[in-house]
Amino acid sequence: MIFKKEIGEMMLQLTSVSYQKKNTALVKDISGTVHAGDRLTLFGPNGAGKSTLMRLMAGIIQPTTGKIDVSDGLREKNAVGYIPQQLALFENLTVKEHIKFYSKMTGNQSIEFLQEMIENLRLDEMWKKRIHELSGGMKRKVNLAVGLIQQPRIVFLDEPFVGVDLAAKHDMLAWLNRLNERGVTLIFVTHDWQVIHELADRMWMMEQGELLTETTVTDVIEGTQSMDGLASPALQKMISYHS
Amino acid sequence: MITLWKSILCKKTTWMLILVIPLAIWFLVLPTAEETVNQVTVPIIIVDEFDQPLTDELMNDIEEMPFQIKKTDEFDLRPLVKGEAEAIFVMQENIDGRIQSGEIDEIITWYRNENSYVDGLFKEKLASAIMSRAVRAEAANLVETYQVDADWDEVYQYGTRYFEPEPIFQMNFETIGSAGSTEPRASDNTIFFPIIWLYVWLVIGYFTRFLYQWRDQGITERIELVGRSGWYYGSWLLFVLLISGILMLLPLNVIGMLDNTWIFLILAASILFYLLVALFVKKIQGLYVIAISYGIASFVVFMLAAWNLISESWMHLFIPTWFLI
Repeated sequence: MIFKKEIGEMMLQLTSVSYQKKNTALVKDISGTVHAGDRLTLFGPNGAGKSTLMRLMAGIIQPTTGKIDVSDGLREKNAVGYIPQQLALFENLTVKEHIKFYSKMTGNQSIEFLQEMIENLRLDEMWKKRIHELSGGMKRKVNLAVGLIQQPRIVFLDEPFVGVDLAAKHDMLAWLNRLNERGVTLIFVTHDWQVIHELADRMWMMEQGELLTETTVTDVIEGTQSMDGLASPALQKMISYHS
Repeated sequence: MITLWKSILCKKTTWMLILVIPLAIWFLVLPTAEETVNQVTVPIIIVDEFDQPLTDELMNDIEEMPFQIKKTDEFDLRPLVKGEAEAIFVMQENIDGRIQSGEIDEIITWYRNENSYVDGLFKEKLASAIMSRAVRAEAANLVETYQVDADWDEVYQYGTRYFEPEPIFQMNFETIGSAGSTEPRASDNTIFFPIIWLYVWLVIGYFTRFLYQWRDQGITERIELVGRSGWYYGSWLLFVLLISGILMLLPLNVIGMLDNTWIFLILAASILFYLLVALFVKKIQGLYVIAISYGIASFVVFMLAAWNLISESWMHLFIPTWFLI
């Protein structure tokens, strides 16, 4: 089953992390901490550097300067789950084949966990269908499931709900929250306020590669956290639109 | 591993490339090629400076496919040197009279170069035509000068002088150097190798596209995250090696060119080349440019090397030229 870790323990520690590609700074001097069991969203307009920061935190790319310290638990095999923005699926394979393939790849043989995930995400309804036969929302569900097969301690999700209908979104959110209750840390990027509301506690406001401020979702929704002087008109508009 | 292979084999294009097109070439192009080969003519020049009627008679007797015989009264070796003629046969003076008198040795001079292949067939036909005349003439001479004291065995043995101890017919023989190198040129089958390699090269390129596609989709990242990148690239390598191996070795075996020990290395190097490109060139357009440029350049360099037009060490930078080592 999912490893249960006491919430509050440090999992990731970012110290002046920057990332540069072809003389363009995509992430600039970001510091911050992620704790076990956190539900953190990276929020900001397009081009703010959210996806790049998430890839840095997931260890997919390495920072140009600065450092990211990770807890010992995250160094273990299968500790990190990553759900990319693109559908990382084989178009011609069935849902069943995907689950079997990634189970073997990750070495996860926990039938109970797989059955629970299949039921919660209702994957059994499309079990023998090939990916190209599924709707966009269904594909997103499979994409999510495949990224969680190895029962990770921390999950990075890059726009996981694009094109997902309400029913499917409800299933996905419920499953992710259930995992979080068991101690799994969630870090995600989205522009969907419903998702932020239901899945996040903390927010990192980003713009032009910089971390402007760290706040809580409650503060933003209730208007306690003022963005005046901190955010550009575009970001302020994104926030005020909801609140 | 099977799942990864299955995801490639589920594509219709894959089957087109590894089965339909090779079979279509096998069943459609090959018979046409064989027919073309059958229709190839063998240009032969007969030089008769004395314009003797017997030369025309001999030409009429022999003129059949694949020989294309041209008669001239001017002796010129240039067509042979340029490769425009397979062989030149020069008729001596009074050929008819010499045949009638039984003096048939060296009445024709045969010129050929080291690249002439089938002119020997023409020589045999020419010899046969002359011999039939010589034997008839000899028989006529015998009857004309009938010897009453000769017994049957003596006359019977008389005929063997055309066959023993020398061959039935001899002619002067000279080899002429061609315009190119005097080294033997690659065999005609050699042309098939770069064509087969080029096709296999394109097929490997098609399979490499999947690495790019999977990388763009995030599949590669996902697999790398769980520490299975070795397995992932190994599966791809094994699959491509298996398919491209069949595509290359099968036709080479049929045309009898599988005895070259470099073939396996050529195959492995071609696949590794693509894998390295996929690892270091991030955009698929880069792959297309490199694969097409290198493929065409290799084909051209191979042909130049096979024709002995180049013989430099740098040409071995192009993988298919290893076949010529």
